[in-house]
Amino acid sequence: MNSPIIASNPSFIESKDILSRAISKHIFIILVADCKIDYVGRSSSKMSWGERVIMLKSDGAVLIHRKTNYKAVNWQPPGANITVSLERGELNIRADRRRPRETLSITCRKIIFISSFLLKDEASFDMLLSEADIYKVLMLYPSLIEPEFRISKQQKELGGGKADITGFDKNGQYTVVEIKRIPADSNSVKQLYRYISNLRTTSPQVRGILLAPNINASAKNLARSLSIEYYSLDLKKIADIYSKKNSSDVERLDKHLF
Amino acid sequence: MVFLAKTSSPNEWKVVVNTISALVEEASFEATSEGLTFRAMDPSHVALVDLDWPNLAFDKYDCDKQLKLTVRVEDLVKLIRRADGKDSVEISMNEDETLLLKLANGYKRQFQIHLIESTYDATPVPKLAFNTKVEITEPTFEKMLNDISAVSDHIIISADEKKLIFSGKSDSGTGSATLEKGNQELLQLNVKEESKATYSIDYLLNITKAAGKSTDVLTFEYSSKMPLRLTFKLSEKGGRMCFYLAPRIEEK
Repeated sequence: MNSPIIASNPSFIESKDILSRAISKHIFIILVADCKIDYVGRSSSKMSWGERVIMLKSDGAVLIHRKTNYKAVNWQPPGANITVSLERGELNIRADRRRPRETLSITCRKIIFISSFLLKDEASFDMLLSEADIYKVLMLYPSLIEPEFRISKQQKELGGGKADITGFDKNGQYTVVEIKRIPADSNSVKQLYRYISNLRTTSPQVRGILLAPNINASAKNLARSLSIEYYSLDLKKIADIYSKKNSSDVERLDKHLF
Repeated sequence: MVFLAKTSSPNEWKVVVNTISALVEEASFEATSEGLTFRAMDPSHVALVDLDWPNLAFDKYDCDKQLKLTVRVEDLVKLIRRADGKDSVEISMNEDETLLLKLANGYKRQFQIHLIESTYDATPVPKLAFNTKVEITEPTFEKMLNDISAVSDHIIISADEKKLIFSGKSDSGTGSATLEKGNQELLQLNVKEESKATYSIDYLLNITKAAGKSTDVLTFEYSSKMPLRLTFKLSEKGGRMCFYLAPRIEEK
């Protein structure tokens, strides 16, 4: 059932075949290739020939890794449309995104290794985290917002259930943090801005931080223009802490399954 | 190999797809000559959805051997969303083993969906006995859930022979909503033993809202500190969806 396809030093035709099949079936692919990279989007970049590891994930995400460093040197997020073609004796892999318009183009002059395989991964991730749960964890560990962040005394007195945290950063600057459990969009930015602009009439330096798992490009630009900061919220980390705090909060259906 | 399933309206598919997308990213439908079934648990194993859609509930149904059709839910959601209220929906299997989705109402559209390999094992069915059975109108149930969600992210359901109480509490306050036996929105209240349990509102609201598009009445069953089962019809012609939700343990 789950036999990986592995080919070392495959021909271009063989590689294209393996890639096309795997892409249409949304199967994970890893290849090692001597390639050059072209990225065109909000900016553009080029990387000339070199041997790199390329990962094509089942959700359309693409990652290119060089031989050192832990970060991908180029990538496309999930949802990219991936196409493979043979042009001028080279294998080309293109990952296109529409919004924003971005194209990552990988041209390979030699495929050293290619493998496609199905990954079985049913590890649970506590998706029951509500905004209130996230709030509770951040109140307990405010340095998760920012190092040396302190919750305001007023906030401590207000208690739970809100989505905003007010406090002071390491420089003593009053800061409002808005938590979002889902990706932030322009409305989230505007919501925080409305709250903050009132405060900024008397204290122009008040900081506004939007905490969300991710944010779309136009919202990010809007935030920047309104002097609102965005930090990525690591839901998994928060879930881990929360579940350690309340390990028996929610049951699973497993024990009732026949 | 032949597979074709046609409905004269997209509503059933919209309900199915909206329910499933709240829980999982890939969906494996089993098609046999008897009909279409689907069962899956969400990644945290707290919720389980079970669909039984018999052949007679379709306008046209044809399946000559047992098939497993696994699709990425997101792909299916995007296409089903393209259907208007008057569209008929026909899903069939192509020779090249892709799924063909046809929407038609004068204006015809056709989409191809790639089938993927399933990465999940088959989900078994929960074995449960319930002490309380409630049949309630969908709008009222949704309203009660919304009322409690104003104060808490989980709901405590208490039932005795005479009444049904939904309540919730959090640091910001408490709230409760009561329905007494005899109320016309409460079509049935069958209590073998007084029952009290707590569930996450989010899951319940998602399913209820999705269900509301196809039905006016829902049934839910539960026992103290045990999983709840919510059942509703997919359409007048047949088809039924069951949703199981594990209870939350009350913090002391």
